[in-house]
Amino acid sequence: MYTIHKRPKKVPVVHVSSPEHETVSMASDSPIASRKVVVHLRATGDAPILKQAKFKIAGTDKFSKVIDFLRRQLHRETLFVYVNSAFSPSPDELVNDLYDNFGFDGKLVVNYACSMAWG
Amino acid sequence: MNQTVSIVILKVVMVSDQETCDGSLSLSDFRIAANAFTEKWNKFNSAFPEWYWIDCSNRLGFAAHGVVDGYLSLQNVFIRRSLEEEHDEGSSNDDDELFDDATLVQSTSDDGDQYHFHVVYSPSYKVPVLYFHAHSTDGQPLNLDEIEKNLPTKSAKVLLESKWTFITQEEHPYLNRPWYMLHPCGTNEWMKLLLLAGDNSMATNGTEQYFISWFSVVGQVFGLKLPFEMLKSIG
Repeated sequence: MYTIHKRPKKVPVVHVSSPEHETVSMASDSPIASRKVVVHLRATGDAPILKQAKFKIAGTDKFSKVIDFLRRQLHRETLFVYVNSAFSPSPDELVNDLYDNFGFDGKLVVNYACSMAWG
Repeated sequence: MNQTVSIVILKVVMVSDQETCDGSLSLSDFRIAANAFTEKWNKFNSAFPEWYWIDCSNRLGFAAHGVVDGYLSLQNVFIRRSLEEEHDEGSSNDDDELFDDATLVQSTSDDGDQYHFHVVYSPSYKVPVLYFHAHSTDGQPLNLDEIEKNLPTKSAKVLLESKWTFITQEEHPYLNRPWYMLHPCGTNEWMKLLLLAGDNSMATNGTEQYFISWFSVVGQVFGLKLPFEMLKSIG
């Protein structure tokens, strides 16, 4: 049987402060974290296009960091974020894993749309 | 503007019978898509319980010729409660859910709460709809507050913000018992993005890929992930 562990409520969410910060910083102390992945953010539908559509992120970061980044940039709580125009990755996937499986031309293309309605 | 576009697409789709283009699915394609999904899930996700098709084509007392009737079922998924275990004995008194008598299996330890998922076709929205039922290891059905504690923080938040448009209790179309369901009215909007935005070859494989794309979104509500092998088969 498969067990899913709920994330404890009190785990702090890691915030990326700004795109500039995101690009230049993250020089990590750990060697495993050294690989950076270029994420290319591509707007779909009526979603606003970001001034900085490409940024680097540590491969060991979770995909949720990309989502949080987009949320803050677009000032939207609900976003639909997906990869390869085919699926929406789980927020706790590692950027490294997504890049290894779905990246090409040295980058991971992430699409986003503003409409994400459940009801 | 967008709305106009989608209406036009819808009309074209109806004529050309390529339902996947507008994010929806015909009933017969639902069966095809369900099959393709089940096959891949059972191959690549063998640590998990299997999805299987529940055939209901005789439920009205006759087998209508060529009509698909049934749903997909995934039983006995354990989802663990949050660390702060709470026992609100009193909160379940207005719970009119029945046990899913077919699925009470041996509970080895505190594996968590047991979830059953059914994917039912919605003829009005023309999309798959996820129904689910949950109970604790002692067989007590969970109410929405208890379910909320099992959800990843993000979905719990959505639940809080849109109480009546996200998860609600409805009558299960085949079991005629109250089950929880994820609301389907936004489904074709985001499915359209997952099916259309890609290259042109999507149209032909759209039906087979439909469920994988769809489940990559709805599974997140419960923290259920698809293996990369499955995602790669559509990516």
